[in-house]
Amino acid sequence: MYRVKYLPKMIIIVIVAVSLLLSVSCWDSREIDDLALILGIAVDYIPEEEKVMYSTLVVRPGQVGGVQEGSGQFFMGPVWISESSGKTLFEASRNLSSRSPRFIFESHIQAIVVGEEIARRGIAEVVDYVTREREQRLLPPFLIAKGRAVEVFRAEPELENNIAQEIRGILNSQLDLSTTPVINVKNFILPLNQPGIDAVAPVIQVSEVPTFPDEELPVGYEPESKKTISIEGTAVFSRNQLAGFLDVPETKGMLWVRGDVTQTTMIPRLPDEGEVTVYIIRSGSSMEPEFIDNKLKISIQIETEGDIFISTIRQDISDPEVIEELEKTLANHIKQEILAAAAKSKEYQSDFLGFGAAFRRKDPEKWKEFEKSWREMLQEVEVEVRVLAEIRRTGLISTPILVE
Amino acid sequence: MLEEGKISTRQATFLMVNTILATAILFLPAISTRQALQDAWISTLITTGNGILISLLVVTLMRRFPRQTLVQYSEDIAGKVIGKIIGVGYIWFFLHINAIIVREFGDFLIAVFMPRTPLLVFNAMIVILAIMVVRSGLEPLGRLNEWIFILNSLILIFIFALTLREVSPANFQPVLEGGIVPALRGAYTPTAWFGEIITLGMIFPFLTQPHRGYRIAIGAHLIVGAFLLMGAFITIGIFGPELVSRLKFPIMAAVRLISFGEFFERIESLVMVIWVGGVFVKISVFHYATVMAAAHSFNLRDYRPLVIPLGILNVILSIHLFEGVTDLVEFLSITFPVYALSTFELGIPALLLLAALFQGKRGENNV
Repeated sequence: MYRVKYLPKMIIIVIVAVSLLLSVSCWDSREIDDLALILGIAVDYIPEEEKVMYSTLVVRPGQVGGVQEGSGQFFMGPVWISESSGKTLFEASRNLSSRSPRFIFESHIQAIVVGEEIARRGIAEVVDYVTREREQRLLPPFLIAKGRAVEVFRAEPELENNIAQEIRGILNSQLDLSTTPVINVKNFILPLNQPGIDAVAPVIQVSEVPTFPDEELPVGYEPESKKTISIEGTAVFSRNQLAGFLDVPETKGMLWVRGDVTQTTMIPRLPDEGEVTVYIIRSGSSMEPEFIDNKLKISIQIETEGDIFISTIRQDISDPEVIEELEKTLANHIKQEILAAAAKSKEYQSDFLGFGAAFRRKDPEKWKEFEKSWREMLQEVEVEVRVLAEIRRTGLISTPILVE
Repeated sequence: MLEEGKISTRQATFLMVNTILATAILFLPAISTRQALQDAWISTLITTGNGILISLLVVTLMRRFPRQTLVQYSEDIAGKVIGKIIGVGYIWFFLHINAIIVREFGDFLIAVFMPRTPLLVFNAMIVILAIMVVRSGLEPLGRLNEWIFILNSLILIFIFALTLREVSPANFQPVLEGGIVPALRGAYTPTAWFGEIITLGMIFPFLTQPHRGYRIAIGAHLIVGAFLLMGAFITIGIFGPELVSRLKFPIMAAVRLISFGEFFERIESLVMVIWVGGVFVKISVFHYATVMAAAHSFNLRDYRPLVIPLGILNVILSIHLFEGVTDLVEFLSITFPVYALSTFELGIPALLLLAALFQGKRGENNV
């Protein structure tokens, strides 16, 4: 009785279970064997052809773990640099699939490099591409290349397997140096929408260095050179167009104002021609906008703390008076950097220091009056900088051991 | 009685929380930020206040008739003809809203995770699950939801904790830049979400402690308000109001930013977990409400034969109601609040309550 009662149910359950096993599938399944993992994308505009060029750095399967050289096999690098072009960025990126045997998979991008030319013409298309596409995330570093972006991918990495990881590594170590802003896609696109602040991005450039120093060159070899990358300085935007570049001191000035200096070394020059390197440990900034009879004034206040790293001055740095003098020199040094950045802000008509946003926070009513003509008003903003620099520690020795 | 099961106060509260929160947490930060910009968090506070007012009103009505569902006493109060019309209206309302929720469910999964899977697959699968749970009754749903609620809450708190370090307070300034009006307008659409508490009217007779009705509704609104406030705080703090209003799923974008030490990242499947779990409960509650409304309007002896046909109708509606996501969001943010609040969520219950007070009508065992 028992069995007969439950038999039909059992049969149905078995049929359902078996058909489930057979029909397991997924419309969007993608096996890793079918994916072209893209590590970096570079976007350029080619004026001669009036086309957008989309270049990718693709992991070459099977070569990621490193290649044994001299094994007699044909040497293939760990990455494939593919290029494709089209009228729009999206078209260019889809044209890539006519050359790639695998699905283009963009979820693991580690660097996005944008060429100078397309940045000057306007970044809107690139920003839309990296935010609308489902596979894209907002985390990869966003950089502006001096010249063509694709050249960056052709450079050789020094330590890492590929240039995208190299870029990521360099940016991480930049956190300790503060010579370039560390910007990912999210940080880049935030100011594009906000009133009273403009976007910035780190600058990457390619330079040629000799492979061997001259004296080590074996007889009969031509001196070779290789391309390497360096990331330094800042690309500054005005609305969505690249307005210009900042050099390292101006970049530092900008980072002081934005409160992004975590650690850096400063070399204030002293009257007796000695030098002191100060290692900044902490810094904070605040901005106080004021309206004085229709004139705009910004007071920037910086507070910072540092340790002495290297000193070649004659005075005894265990003397509090000398330290005080050093602190003043350091404060002045920081002030000059900030003023240099502010001057560039006016020159490029780019409010990358966020003065407009500060005015808006202070008085939203008044901000509405000059919001439209803000970039012109920026010229008339008076900038006042006050720096409070303190040197806390002098390292393990007091006066330099060798002083002539 | 069509339903033999009973659910406790806590189970009912959690059911109501998931009924409102499941879709709100994904859609609302963008919708209310579009109106209120950096003051969207104030909008959330206002919404919670509105929600509590709505719950005071509808629960007062429900407490007068603790042994009957909304559809049953609307017939007692408004008379047979008008009462039946109201009942049929509620069947349509629950079915329609549920079809929209099913559509939201499928659209999100397609937009974010699986772009080439047909909409029908997601919609049909979630409705099949809802059919199964509704057929087994209210009590299993209440018990199941206790787990889903706890899991979802833990995941949400986990997400908020991990994204907190990206929040920059400057994004909230200036507070009330355009006065209080934008904040009020930002509260407008979310209030319709909070009005979904009306589904409580269909499960009220099956509470073990109906005298705790206010506690259920207000408690649910406070919990939802707290989660939405966290959501607004995280998304605006990270992206700034201008970007949040442009993002379709701000919470999703925030979760995608989580990255610790380059190994703890890509945890957005957690959002899928809360989405599938929460929306499953929401769809089940609405489907239960639809089926109950239909069974009570037509005085059926059993509600179970209706579960599958109404489910199929629901799937068909969910696919044909909208052309695309733009239609859907437009409807949700502009038409839905007027439609829902003026009639079934607030208008009709308010009229019913007034009429009941005038007539002095009460149900059995009122509390």
